[in-house]
Amino acid sequence: MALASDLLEQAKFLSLREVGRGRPRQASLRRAASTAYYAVFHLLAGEAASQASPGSPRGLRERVQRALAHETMKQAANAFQAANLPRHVASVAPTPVPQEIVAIATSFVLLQEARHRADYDLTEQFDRTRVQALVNEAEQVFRLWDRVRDTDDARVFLASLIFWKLWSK
Amino acid sequence: MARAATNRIARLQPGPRIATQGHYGPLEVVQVDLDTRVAKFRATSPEGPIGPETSVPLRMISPLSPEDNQRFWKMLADELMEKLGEEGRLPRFYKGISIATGDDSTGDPAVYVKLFVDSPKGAARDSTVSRWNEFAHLVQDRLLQLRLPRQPYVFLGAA
Repeated sequence: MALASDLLEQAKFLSLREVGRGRPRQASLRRAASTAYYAVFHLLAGEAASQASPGSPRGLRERVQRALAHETMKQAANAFQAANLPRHVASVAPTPVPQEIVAIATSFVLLQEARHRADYDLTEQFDRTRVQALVNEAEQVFRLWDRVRDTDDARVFLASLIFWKLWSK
Repeated sequence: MARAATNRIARLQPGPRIATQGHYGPLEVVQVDLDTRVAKFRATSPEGPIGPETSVPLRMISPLSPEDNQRFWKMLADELMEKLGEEGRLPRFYKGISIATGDDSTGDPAVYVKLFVDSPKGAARDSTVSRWNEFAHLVQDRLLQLRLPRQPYVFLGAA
């Protein structure tokens, strides 16, 4: 997961740029917010692809990862953050959903929305307080993920990120 | 009892206008209770609310306009902050709140809550940012517990 952790490092770097030089540039703050989301996106997408696909042949896992869709991931995360899983998912996920997974799902949804606003909504001003909080949120996801990644709940969560829409058919 | 009184006194201006199943005519929310997830409303007139108060679950309420929606969520947020204050869970760095409603990036109904915090001019320390986020998570959790069909997004901002 070198890409994910490198992105997190970059998000932090950007969030702390222009300290002591008056107001930080919007470009730095917006890229920091956006990068914080992509750090978490690649962390989870990479884990989901590793779980769903073997490492051989070369390139297959990356093709699987490419199939992950932001909107589908958000829908799945929304259900986990509300700890409100449909029966077909709950039947394989022990309940209640662990707090770590709920927190990861909540942060994912929040960071995705912030990413969208940072990249497209110029009516809104970003300040360092907000952006530092978003980067801190992403860092917390990495810490929480380390604690739960080898659990059955985490495996169901990852599978949900890929298959949520297909499962609801 | 004191809490209920505060709830009313704080709302001298008209409450959000709403519709709810089985009730007709202009209606106005006069009080919300986050513990029972219930709102009280009355019929409204140009002179203000009239008639008896009626209770309805929060999830059964449909604000009439985007402005009413915003006022309804402001009412919920103000009530939540009042409650957190009573519980001793309102941190000293918290300075205020703003509410905006709309659709999120995927087109779902959303409410954007911005918590203004006392922050340093430059960068804040990680431990400080973590405390801000703990508070933001608390607010987000409480709003999610209402189980209303509007996704809350809680962000932070410099006061």
